[in-house]
Amino acid sequence: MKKKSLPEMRPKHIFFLLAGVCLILIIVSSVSSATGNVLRNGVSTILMPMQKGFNFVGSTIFGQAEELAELKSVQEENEALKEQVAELTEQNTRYQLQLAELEEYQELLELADQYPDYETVGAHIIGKNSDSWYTTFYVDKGANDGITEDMNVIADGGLVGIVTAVTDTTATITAIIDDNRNVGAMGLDSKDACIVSGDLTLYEEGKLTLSKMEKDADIEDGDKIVTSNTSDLYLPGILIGYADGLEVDSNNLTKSGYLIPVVDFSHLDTVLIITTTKEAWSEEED
Amino acid sequence: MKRLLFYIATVLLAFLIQNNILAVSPLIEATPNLLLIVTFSFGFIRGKKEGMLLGFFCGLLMDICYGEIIGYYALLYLVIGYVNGTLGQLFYTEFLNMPLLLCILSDLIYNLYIYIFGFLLHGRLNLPVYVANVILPEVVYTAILTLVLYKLFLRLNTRLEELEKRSAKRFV
Repeated sequence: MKKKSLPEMRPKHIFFLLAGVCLILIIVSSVSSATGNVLRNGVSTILMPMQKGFNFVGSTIFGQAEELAELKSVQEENEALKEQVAELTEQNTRYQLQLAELEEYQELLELADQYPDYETVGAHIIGKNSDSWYTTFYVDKGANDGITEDMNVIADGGLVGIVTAVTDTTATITAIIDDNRNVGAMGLDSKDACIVSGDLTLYEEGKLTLSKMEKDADIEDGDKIVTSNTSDLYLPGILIGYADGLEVDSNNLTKSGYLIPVVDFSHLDTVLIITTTKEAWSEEED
Repeated sequence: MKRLLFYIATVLLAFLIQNNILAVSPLIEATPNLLLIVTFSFGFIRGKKEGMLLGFFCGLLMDICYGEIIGYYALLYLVIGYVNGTLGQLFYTEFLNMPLLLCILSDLIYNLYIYIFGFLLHGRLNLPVYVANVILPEVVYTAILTLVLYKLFLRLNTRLEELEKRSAKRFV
């Protein structure tokens, strides 16, 4: 046997060797993402079809179970929604009239679209980090579909997160609810700046923190919060959620509170990836 | 060779079920950590070397698909594999509550590592809230599955050992 002729390595030595490899990987991949991507690409090519298959089987089984469980509550919800639809249709016609009017004025003023419609690519979520500590999603679109790192991700009309790793066929998305993720934001109407940050302890209640806005900023509970122009990573004007529970901080200079996101992160199944990064977008603007 | 194939299949299956079926389903609140069960079970049954190698690759898979930094989970699972391998040499395997004990110990190492490096270091001091909301549910689910899976792994391991012995005899 070949194995026996070689001097056997002792477990302790293998342990330190592998631990060293891990540390080197941690250092190298936190400095440059390119090294990690070689590894990621190799593995994802093999794993992606399997992940897709497993995800399909799982979602079929659980989808049906959930449908049954939800049927009753959905019927009740349906009644309530019908009333709401009637109400909203009426409102909508009014808004449409106003919008037409607005467009006329804008044409008159020759205002360029302040928030262009971003081009998006749809992607299906095939995996999720099983850890409750982190919220990262694995989707079935990658560099071959034009996805790059730092692209913004939306769903249900709100911000989901940002692409943090890409392989040829897959991408990893880190959600804004992930602890210590910060998004530069502002009130939709007042344009007052603030910061939205993920906090695991709050997410259990379905909230994020909203902080660092000036004490007399014109943002109140229930106001829409969108991504800000000044953010490094996020394109401006994407809805994040609604302000809630705002209070003046003890320093008497700033206000902070919570943000209720528009996206339901536990029921996500498809997302839209905006194919312009903030960097490319700002260059275009200049 | 048979054992290698068996390990690859087990790790892949655990990884796919854990992240692509259980974690994605909105019906399941906390996902049991199957990769952890694989790592500590075989670490304990087969010793340090196999435990830490299995752990290393389990962690690497997590890093590659879900991590921003590669090596973070690999180091964690490596340590868990090694610790359980060491325990395997010190304790008797057939002790009734042993798997449960191992599960709780491994899960504690796992969650404390992530809490310290991922949360405490950026100023999240509220450990009790994390224990109640994150750690406890995961430990409970993982422990329940351990009771089933550990026995299964033990049985599969004996089968494999028999097969290995038989083929070794044939070649002598």
